[in-house]
Amino acid sequence: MSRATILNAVRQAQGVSPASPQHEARMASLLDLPAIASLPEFIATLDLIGARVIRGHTMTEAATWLRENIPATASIASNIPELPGTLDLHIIADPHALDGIHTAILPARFGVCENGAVWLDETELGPNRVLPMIAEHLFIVIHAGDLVANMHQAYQRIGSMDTGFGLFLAGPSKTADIEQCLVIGAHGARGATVFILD
Amino acid sequence: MNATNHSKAAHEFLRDPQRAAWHDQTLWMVRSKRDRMAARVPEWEQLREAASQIKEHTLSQLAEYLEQFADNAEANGIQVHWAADGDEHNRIVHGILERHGLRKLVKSKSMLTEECHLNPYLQQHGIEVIDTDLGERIVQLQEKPPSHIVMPAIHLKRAEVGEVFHEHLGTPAGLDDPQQLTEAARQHLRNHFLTADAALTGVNFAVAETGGFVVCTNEGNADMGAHLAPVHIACMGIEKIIPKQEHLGVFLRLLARSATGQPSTVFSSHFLKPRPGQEMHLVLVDNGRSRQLARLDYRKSLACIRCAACFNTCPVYRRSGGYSYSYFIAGPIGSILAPNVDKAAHSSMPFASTLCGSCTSVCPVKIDIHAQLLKWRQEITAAGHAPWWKKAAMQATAFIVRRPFLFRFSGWLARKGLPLANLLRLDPWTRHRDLVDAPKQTFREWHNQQSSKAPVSSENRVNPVQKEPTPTP
Repeated sequence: MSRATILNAVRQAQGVSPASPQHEARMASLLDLPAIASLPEFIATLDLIGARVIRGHTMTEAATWLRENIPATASIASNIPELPGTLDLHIIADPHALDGIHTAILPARFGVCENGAVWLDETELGPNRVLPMIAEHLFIVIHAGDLVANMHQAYQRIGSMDTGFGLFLAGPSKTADIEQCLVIGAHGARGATVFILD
Repeated sequence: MNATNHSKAAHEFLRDPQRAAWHDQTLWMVRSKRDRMAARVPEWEQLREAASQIKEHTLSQLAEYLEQFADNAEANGIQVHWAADGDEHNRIVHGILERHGLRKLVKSKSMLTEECHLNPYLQQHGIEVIDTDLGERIVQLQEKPPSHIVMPAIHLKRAEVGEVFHEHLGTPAGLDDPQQLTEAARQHLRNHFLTADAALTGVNFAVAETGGFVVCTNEGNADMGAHLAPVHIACMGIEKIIPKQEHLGVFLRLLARSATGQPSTVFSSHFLKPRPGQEMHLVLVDNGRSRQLARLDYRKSLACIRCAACFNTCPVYRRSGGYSYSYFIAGPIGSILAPNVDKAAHSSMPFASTLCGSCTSVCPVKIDIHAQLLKWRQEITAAGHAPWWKKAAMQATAFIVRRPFLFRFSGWLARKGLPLANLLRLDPWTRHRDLVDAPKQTFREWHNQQSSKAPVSSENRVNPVQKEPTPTP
């Protein structure tokens, strides 16, 4: 109802001064920074934010790690065909049914060295947006070559988003709301393992 | 409400000096973490400048960007609503819930809904509202507001949280381990996430060119709510708009580093379209923002990204706590936002500052907070909201400084009387600390010693007082 009222009020208010110039030049200078993606930096940042890093050369190594580290009875949801899970995500229509998943295995599109975040959108997540939060643990697979140095390069790499949802995920969920004591595992995953394939 | 409000409330807070010292140190630790993170980004100042310019530009063409954003969001399948004030916002949110007969709402952190008093409104209409950010849930169970916009329960000790959880969540009496308390909250809130009818989130950034919006959390609570519930309502002030997606790169680099000293929040979620079968609503709220936009002196306050770096660095906030401020957003930024809402009710807030400017130095979007505090002080005093003794003191000062002899005499008196002032606690400042010792020598005496051949007088000082108008050549 109030759209016209608000827009009028805003138009009048912004009119009391001339439009501030565009800021494109300054943005461009940030994009031109000589920032180069570095795997050691990515690994160090993941360590800082409480994620566990595993390195390997093949998906078989990832499968072995999973077999050795996840209880045989655990329910596993996977979006990576080479690392099959225990349940078929395509037949789950109600996201509530995902509660109780032990580990979600997800491919990351790329990683960001400066903050340890990985990008996932519905291409990687499938229809279940809640998967990276509702699972108790995350197992993220990323190729060592798929790294960008900083968030400016990250948005250049994303370009125009063609799905309805995407996120930067940086490590396991955490909180420090009680006396600033860091606790890993708030509402989302209690642990995040990043498997770097190189 | 009167102008002594903040100092009176702060006096209450300071009754427990140990707790006050702990509060101060805890926040200073967060400030130090922010410094370490900022120092690791060589282009930090360049980022701040870019963020400041993007916001300034957006605010100068806000109507156009709002229209572009709303049109794109609608094209994406998001239902967009416009609310001129808090009441309209609350009616819209309730209307959406009522239309579907939804009774239980899980809510992630949204300062806007705090501003609009949404929770009490919905509760009066029979809706169960569950705040899901851990800190917010703690203060909600206490029936208290947040004392800090990023760390809502920063004023509480772990034992107090333990008591709240013992009473409401049934944890064992005396349990005060943060890990175990957080685990109890996780299970309690997981249950609410799984049974909620609707989810409400705030918005950190709304992108005009895509019609999408970004929500940042560390706990994952916004996502847990929004991706499970059949209805997602996102509420935002109209100043949250940025023109382009690439601008997110600038703001996301600044936000978490400034807020908590993390390189990034754990979840930076980009919502563009509702998931199949879900309804997504977005409420755009003015509630005084267009008024602030027209006040050029204060327009930049609308650039705020709610990181609370200014809280953590503020010597007054750290030593007086969030509840000493009369507005729900405390600290330096709250003190320049609140008078726009109600100058008389929040007249003490701009005075709750030393004007040291630390807030301005850490602000990631370069808001001139301390300059705006000073402007509000002038405006509040001119409007007659300052207490009489403050005006009388200023008039007395003006009287004295115009009379050199009186000025010198009162300087002498102040130096002699300082120990007495400390002893008698004459100045409110001396209730909690002693004034420093006055130097033995005055500046004038020192200066005369340095240039003993030319003692300072009105005739031979650096800028001599003109007795005759200077003839123009």
